[in-house]
Amino acid sequence: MLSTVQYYDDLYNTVNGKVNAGFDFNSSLTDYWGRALSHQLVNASDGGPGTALKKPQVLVYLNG
Amino acid sequence: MPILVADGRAPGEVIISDNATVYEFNPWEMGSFDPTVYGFAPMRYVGSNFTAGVLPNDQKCIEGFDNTGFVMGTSSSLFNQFILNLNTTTGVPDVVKNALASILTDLGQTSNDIADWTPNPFYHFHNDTNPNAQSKRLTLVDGGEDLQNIPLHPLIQPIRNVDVIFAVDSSADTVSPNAQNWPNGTALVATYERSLNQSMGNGTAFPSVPDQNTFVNLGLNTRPTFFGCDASNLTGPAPLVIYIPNHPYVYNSNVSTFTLSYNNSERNAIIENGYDAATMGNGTVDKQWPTCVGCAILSRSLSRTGTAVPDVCKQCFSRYCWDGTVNSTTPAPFFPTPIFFEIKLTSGVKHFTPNLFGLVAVIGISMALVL
Repeated sequence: MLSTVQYYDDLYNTVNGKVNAGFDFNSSLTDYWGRALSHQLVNASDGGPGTALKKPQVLVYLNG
Repeated sequence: MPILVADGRAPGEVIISDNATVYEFNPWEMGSFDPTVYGFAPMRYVGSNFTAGVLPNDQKCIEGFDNTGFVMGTSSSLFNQFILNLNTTTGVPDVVKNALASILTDLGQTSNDIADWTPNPFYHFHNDTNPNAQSKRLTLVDGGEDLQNIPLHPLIQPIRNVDVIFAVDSSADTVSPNAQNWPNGTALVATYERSLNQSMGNGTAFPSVPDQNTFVNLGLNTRPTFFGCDASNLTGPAPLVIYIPNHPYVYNSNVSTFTLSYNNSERNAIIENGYDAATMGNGTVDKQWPTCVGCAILSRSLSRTGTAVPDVCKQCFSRYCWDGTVNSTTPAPFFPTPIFFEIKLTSGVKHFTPNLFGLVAVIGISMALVL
């Protein structure tokens, strides 16, 4: 379980990592919302910030 | 296989169901079957600078944009606004608040539901029809904003040959004072009407469904109903739709879409009620219900193979198929009471989630399953 401060830092750092990746990416509120959702719905530590939709374990988890 | 849905919407635009492009995301591709975009980009390489459907020689392949959370967030971006609550939450670091403020400065409050998919994978793709073809930016919003609250659109594409759809409807369609937060078929009506639209239908067919008043007047929003039972009486090949509306069995599960958190006791009651709605009280209301679901699943293959419909299925279809009756008069106020004894919630129980973000699992999530 993350502490509250760690949690917010995680949201910020993962979204910031996307924006600063050096490509033409923008951030939107959906980035933060998506990271928050991941903490609830993606079965990996820290909500699997590197989890792509294609990964098989995600399919299994989403299909229940 | 998960398929998630979003709508195309530029900042400042208002969604109109008949002309907004519906995008879908699956583990392999993102894109649209609509005649506007009509194309897909490989999910794995979204984030790369595609032009006219190809990656120019001077551009690198970029991976990792296809983040599961971002796709789920896009499809549910109506809830972005909750993120703004952080601005007034104590304990949130200033750096987070500043980042949110800068996004709002860029997009404006009325676009706080936008998911930014820049770089647009469909840049200069289908220039004649794609409204976003000239923009490097692609902005998407919650797939329910065009009223197609159940993600039926990917499942009625003729190329997918889907036989049956379980359309679970937890939409909050009805409003006070006549009723509150129960479904009334709006999602089915939206997909049906779009399938008939000359410019956007693009070869899709959807079973005929009645108007929302009829849904309420006939009680079609209180029990499972089959639509499209007669495969020979459709505008084109279409699945049979098993409509399962949210209705109270053991709990008044019509919570507002924007209820931020639930205690465990209420969460469990809502889930148990959903179990009862889908199983008709575990077969208590109709002990033949499991058989009837089986008949519905088999229906298209029975007609495809010319197999005689078993008697028990005939009984089921006479009971659960919408028979075409319409009653469009304004319905009486709709205040259903639980079919069984209502669960009494215990108080003072542990909260479902550790923070304000944990509101997703049991909100009015609508979903469709393909078999």
